Amino acid sequence: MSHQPFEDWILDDEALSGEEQQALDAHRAACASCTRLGTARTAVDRGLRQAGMLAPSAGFTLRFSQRLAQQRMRSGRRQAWGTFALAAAAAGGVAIPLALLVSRDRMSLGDWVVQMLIRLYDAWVGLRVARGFVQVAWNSLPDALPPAWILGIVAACLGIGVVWIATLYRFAYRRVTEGA
Amino acid sequence: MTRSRAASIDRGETRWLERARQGDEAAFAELVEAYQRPVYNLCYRMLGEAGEAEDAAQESFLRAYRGMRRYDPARSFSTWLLAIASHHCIDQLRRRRLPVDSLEELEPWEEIPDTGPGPEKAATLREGRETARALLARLGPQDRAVVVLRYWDELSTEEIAEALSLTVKAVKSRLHRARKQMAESWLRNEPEPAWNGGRADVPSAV
Repeated sequence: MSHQPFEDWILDDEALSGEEQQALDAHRAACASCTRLGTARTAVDRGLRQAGMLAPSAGFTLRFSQRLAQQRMRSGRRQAWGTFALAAAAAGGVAIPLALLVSRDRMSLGDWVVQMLIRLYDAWVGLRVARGFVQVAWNSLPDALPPAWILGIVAACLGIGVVWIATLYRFAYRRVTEGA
Repeated sequence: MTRSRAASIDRGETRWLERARQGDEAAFAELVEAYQRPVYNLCYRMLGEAGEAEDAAQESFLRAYRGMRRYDPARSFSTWLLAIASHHCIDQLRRRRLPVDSLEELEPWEEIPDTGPGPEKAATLREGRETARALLARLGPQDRAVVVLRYWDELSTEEIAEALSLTVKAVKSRLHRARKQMAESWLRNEPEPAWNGGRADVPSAV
């Protein structure tokens, strides 16, 4: 005996037409298997609905707030460690080439100090030259460029500065306060 | 949930949702207070253990809090929240991968105190819970989620499809399969349990 479509009608939620209901009743009267299935479905539905809604133990919201605070703290700690690791990597990036440079030259400590002083002096001279260049540009720019250009350049510099500060704020401060 | 409590949630929910989307933790705590029961119930029905259910419910709320900016106010918040909890529980079950071969293998039922009903009603309720747990334990993670969302949260087929990222056809098919599986399981575990009333007019199932 074919149990279709009666099995589907028993198990699904689709509303049956009068004719379909009559056909199902007639089939169930003759088919023990579909009668059992119908009885079982009714029993299962009743059992599930009778199980009721369970509630968590008291203080669930408080525990949630504590968990959120803990997670935020962990997130802040992770970010601090990340910043530290980046700073350490940057310091290593500078220190390792310097150490290689020093060890390659195989200089005595005195020679090394002298070399470092010479390099510092070179850097200082370089900065002075750069400052002189900026001063010359500053003095001659108003004559060479129209005021609109100068305003544009100043605005662009300010814009870059604002973007830089906003980026620092977003990555170094906001991420922690959001607790993400 | 009482009717007056539900009405106050309706009134306050829009405001809480708006504030929670702006990162207001206190407003989100109100949402946790309002929705803790359906979320916990879903997690419990899915995972079958109180400790795991508490953990999963807490984690679901944390995920919802982190994802509040992605929440679309045009959608139902409860469906969105239950979707997060369902996906989390499905992941947990897949990670666990412990098939239950017989009802005897289930861990002992953890007693949850019933405060309201008298001893007789409490016994019926307890038996109903035990049966529900045994029936659900045999279903796969997604079929279990479909059944819980339908029977306890009373979501429509379309809402279940949205919550579980399935098609409506797939939800209907899963519900059909789950009911058949549970009916067969029930037939194997006759005689008539107390929650079916033990009625004489219901024909013997086996």
